[in-house]
Amino acid sequence: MTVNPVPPLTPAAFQVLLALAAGQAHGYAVMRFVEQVTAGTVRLGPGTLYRTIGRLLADGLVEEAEESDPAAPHDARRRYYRLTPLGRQAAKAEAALLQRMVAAAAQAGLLPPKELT
Amino acid sequence: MTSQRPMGLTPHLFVRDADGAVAFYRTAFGAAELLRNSLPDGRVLFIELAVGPARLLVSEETPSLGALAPPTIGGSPVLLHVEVEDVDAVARRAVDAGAAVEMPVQEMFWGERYGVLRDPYGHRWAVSTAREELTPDDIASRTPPDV
Repeated sequence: MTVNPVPPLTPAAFQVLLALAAGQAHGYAVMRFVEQVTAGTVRLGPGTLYRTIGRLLADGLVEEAEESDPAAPHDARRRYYRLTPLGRQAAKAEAALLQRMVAAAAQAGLLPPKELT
Repeated sequence: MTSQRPMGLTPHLFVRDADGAVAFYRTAFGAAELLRNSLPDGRVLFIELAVGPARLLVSEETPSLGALAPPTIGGSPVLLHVEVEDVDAVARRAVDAGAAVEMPVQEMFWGERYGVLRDPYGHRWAVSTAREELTPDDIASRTPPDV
């Protein structure tokens, strides 16, 4: 909502922000990143990528990089995006929340022992 | 493999003048347009919006498909409920953009500040902001004997 500057992030939105945290990337790279970081267990399809990036653009969490060709087709896979300062802030807040959740999961015995170190 | 495609319930509204309706939902509720599909003659088949964390689909009225807008059927039997941060501000924006007030925003016994609007295209919206976190028993004990 316009009344809520940083809306709650969906898992797909967080994954896109995470993929862009190291620097600008095009949609194909974002899709590959998600597949690699989840060992192929999570797939971000082109329709979901397009909607998720559309939402992040509208909320001001990502922006198109200058390297994008304005005449390129409306295909999020081939356009370049980067985080805005608000997007970085939202991604940091979500990562900190997830870190607390993972620490609680480890304490509750939900993670294998090697993850406790 | 987990797909990230959003599942769940999405209202699909039929309106006369899809572009006007989308402009209204943008102004009133902060909707963002995500996807649009049109026929070669320019007729809008559907527009997908994000409204807060939810999705909303809007299509142009198409009687041949049984897609009828509220003025055609004489009203709407559905109340769309949207929870927002500041119900008074949202209601004010909606009214400024042409919505009619069916029930002014007020404190309700179930712990919300709540009002009902009819948008310029005939769809009915409840807008609310949570004020208290009540248990079901709290709500039952506050429910008036009749409405």
